[in-house]
Amino acid sequence: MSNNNNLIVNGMMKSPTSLECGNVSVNGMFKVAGDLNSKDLSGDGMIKIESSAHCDNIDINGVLKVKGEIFANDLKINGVIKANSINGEDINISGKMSIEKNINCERLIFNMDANSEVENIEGSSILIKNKKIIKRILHTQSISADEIIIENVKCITISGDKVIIGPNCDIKNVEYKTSIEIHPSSKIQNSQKL
Amino acid sequence: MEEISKKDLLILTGISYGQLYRWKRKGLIPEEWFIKRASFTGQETYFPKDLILDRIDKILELKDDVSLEDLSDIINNKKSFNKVKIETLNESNLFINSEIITLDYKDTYTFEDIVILKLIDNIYDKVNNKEQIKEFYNYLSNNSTDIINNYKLIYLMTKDDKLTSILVKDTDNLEFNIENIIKVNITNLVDNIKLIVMF
Repeated sequence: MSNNNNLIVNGMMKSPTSLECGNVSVNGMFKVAGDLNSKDLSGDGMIKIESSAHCDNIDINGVLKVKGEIFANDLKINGVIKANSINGEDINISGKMSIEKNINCERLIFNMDANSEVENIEGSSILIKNKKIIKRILHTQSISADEIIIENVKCITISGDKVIIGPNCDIKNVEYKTSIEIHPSSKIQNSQKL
Repeated sequence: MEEISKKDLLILTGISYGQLYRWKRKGLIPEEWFIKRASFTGQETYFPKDLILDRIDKILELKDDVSLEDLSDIINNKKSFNKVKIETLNESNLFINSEIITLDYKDTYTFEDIVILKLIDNIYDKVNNKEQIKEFYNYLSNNSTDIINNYKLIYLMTKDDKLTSILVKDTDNLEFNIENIIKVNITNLVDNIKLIVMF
């Protein structure tokens, strides 16, 4: 869908309208007052999209703020990501996430170093780790996936096949198909084998 | 409409969480079908039972031959439809009652033609009066575009060998104080035909 015109931003750029282009490389600040449709979106700095982002791959060091939805194959963020929802295949976030609605993905790896929130996580394989010794918490309503390995998560319902609940979790309900491990420091109210 | 919980769905179909959510992500299962309800334990997800089981059935049947992107394009109307020749239709084993085609002999059939024929095929055995079936077929055929695009359900009943139908646009379900009501979900039928005839 995206054309082959590549965009390199060195400094600061604001697009007053939606943008469709090839690869976008940012070193600095990039704002789009609309949708962004691109092949790759990568760079260092701050990227703000007023509507939705449809990209092949996203790789950002810094801050990515999308008011609407993010659709991408691979999404890699080292820093902060804020969006309405994320749909992607491989998602790798190191830092902080603040997602209004859902993350729907094949695989999610989240290395958390700040309090974070997302409404629901759904996918195949979910890994959530707390980066620092300081206790940070991911707040979410539900996590549903085949493999779930988490720590420092506060959540209402976990549904999975193989579930490993690491330290510092506070979960209301866990339902698991095959196996479960629960760290002694975590609180689980109800646990049910399906 | 009867609903099925997510956990029962996974057990019943044998699919994984990953598959369910991948198909949602690819647009093969509409987001509207994921119904969240408050339950004693917090929140549970439910699905319209007939619709989801049917859809998963179709996906499982086709997924090894067709890419998920293609399946999604078909369901979401992004692929156009070439007319089908009568020979192909006869060879396709689409109809349970092969004599259905005698209702309307043509050289080529459009997508709408096939949907209407399949609809009649689905009810053919349940209605004894074949004359009534022919009349009903003509009615559907003459209004095929309107019916396929605007209507959700058809209810059929036979009394004293007479066939009556009610076409419903918006409501989910009607309740009847009569036995032997036949219900046809048009949207479902259309989606299934799309999946079948595109290949």
